[in-house]
Amino acid sequence: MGSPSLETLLQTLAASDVELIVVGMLAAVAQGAPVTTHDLDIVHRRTPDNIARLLAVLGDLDARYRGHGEKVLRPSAEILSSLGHSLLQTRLGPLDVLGAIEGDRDYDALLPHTQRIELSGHEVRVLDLAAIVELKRGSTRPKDQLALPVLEETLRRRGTTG
Amino acid sequence: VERDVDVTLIDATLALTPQQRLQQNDRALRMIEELRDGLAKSRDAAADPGRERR
Repeated sequence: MGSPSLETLLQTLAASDVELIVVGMLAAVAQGAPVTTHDLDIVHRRTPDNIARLLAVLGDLDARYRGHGEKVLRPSAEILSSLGHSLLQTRLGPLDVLGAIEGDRDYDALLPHTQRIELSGHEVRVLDLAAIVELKRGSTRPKDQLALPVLEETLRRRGTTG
Repeated sequence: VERDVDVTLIDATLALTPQQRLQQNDRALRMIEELRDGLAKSRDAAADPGRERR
């Protein structure tokens, strides 16, 4: 297994033409927040074609559910069609595949609140920083509360520096 | 509650491209992993001082 790299993991997904939105802290990192995160969270479009593309790339990445020890459990089309969360380990690092996030917000609901970023010639959508800040404000998790001032200040400075 | 936020770090990160910011995150993760490994080895050595010599 190679060295984990969330950059390479996201590049691989971006190159696969899967319709997805990066949510969570890696989206904030991509937009300039000086924070560190150990996993990649995505919300995918739950259409049959898109799920088939996602399953193909997850297979290439040797994705399996985390926390099952030696037992290897793979994601299925049925599970990825739901609003549920699949917490996976890939050969490039942890990947959380989410049918929806807080308030049952799925791909279509989040799409208007996204920005495109470019990675090695491929575009990928990320949840915009204002939406991430709103989500974190509603969170009671200590790690979100700790990150919030940095995210808010990054949002302010992005606004002033264009 | 007011918390100090290092705005120079934010401005430096904003000056990077999205790809460079992701690379910076990967570098930070590798550094954390190295620190964890180093700490684990230190703990092992402290728990079993003769281990290095055997």
